[in-house]
Amino acid sequence: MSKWLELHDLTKIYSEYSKVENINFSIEKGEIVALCGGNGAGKSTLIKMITGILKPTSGEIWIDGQLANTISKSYRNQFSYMPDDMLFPRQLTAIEVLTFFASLRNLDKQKAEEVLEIVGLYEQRNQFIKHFSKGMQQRLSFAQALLADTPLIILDEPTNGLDPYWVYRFKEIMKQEREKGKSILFTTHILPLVEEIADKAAFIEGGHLIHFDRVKDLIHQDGREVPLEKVFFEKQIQVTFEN
Amino acid sequence: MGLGRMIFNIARQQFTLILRSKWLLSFGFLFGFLAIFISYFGHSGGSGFEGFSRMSASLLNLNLLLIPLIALLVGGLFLSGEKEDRGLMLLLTYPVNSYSVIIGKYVGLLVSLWTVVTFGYGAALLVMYIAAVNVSVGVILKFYIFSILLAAIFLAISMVIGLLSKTRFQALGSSLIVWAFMVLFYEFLIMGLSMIVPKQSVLSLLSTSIFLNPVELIRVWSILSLDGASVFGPSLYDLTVWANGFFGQVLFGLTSILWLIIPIIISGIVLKRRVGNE
Repeated sequence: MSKWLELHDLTKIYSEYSKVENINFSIEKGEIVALCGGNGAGKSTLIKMITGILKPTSGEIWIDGQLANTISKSYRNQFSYMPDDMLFPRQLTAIEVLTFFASLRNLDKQKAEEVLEIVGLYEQRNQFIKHFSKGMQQRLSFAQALLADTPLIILDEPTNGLDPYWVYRFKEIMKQEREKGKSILFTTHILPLVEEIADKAAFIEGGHLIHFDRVKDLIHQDGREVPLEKVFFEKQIQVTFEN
Repeated sequence: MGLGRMIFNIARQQFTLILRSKWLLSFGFLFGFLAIFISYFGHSGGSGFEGFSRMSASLLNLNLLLIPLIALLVGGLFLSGEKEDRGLMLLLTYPVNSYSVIIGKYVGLLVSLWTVVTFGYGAALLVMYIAAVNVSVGVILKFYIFSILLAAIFLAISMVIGLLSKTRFQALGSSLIVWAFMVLFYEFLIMGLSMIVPKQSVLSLLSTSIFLNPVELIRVWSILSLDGASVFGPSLYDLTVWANGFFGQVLFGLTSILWLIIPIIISGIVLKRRVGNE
């Protein structure tokens, strides 16, 4: 497989104590990559740099072998994004929200209805968002990210607020998208989820990438299988002592 | 997608949002009620409806107090709210130009304010027609046009406030400060300065101060357009003659356009630089 999205020394410095520094990793076509780390590790900052919301202090993003201009329209056509804890306008219905976002990508209402069906909100399409639970809003946000047929899907904490059934459905949908050849980058601190669906995992701690490897290589050590949580904590401790 | 279509989609979305919020409706009723009240009862005293009367002065004060306030609150709170809820951030990850976002949102908000102002003046005219009150449609029409212009200018300023504010609460505070300064304290500041500056510079100071604050700009322009120059008194006669002339009118028009365009340009810059960077 070829490298499709590459991050080269991506850095964002807010202050001495708040920074994401020298992030290097790549995503291949048809690959699911999980970005793991604790609260305030720098996952969302990194995602915001990749989506062009944040301007990096330094570093480069390459897409399909070319240096990307993250504020260009052509770059934004390469990915769709689901923000963390998105709050859609309460005065709109689910279908109105999705039809609006679909219109920005030249897609029609039918496409909006299709993705609402996928996330199980078709029956509630004419309900106002104010009547939606946290989980339903999260599914709507997920549907918004599934609208466009972009090669990369970026999801920030996608399973927050989802009930067990929808966590299961989310995993199934992710696998289907990967089978279509799409690349997926998602952030999470739920490591069993990473074990189940991700091909690779990037561990971030204190704004630094502490490890990036194939999930199956991470969990298979000395001929035995260890939980990813244990691997992550070991890496965390190792980095803490090194510093 | 064409730029025009993109702007239309964003404007339509913004208009739907604001139309469904209850407080714009409340403002519509308040504005309508006050416009009817002032137009109907303001003619007592017999100064007539053709020129600058008591009704005109009351209607002007209603416009200058209420319209900047509501425009600042609507624009500031809606934009900062969208920032807080991450909607604006998400929008910027779509293949849209940041100026089409700004213009789309501006147009959507302006159309909603225009609807409210039209409702207010329409209701006032209707009541006066039913009550057979002799009112000059020309005067009402002039007020209507100046009201829309005032709303358009303050809405443009509110876009900057909304985008610079991190939260709705901050936007509320900033909007009230800007409103209080421009509507309430500015004239006291100018009066104070006129006491300090040399006597020969007072006229220049007063003339310049009109263009530095859109409230004063619309106030003076409205009064002059309604043949009310006499309210400025004999000491400002030269100023009113100049302002009523061709160059004066062109300067009023150009300054209004600048008050509209400059905040929109600043909003575009702020949107590009600040959203997500906080």
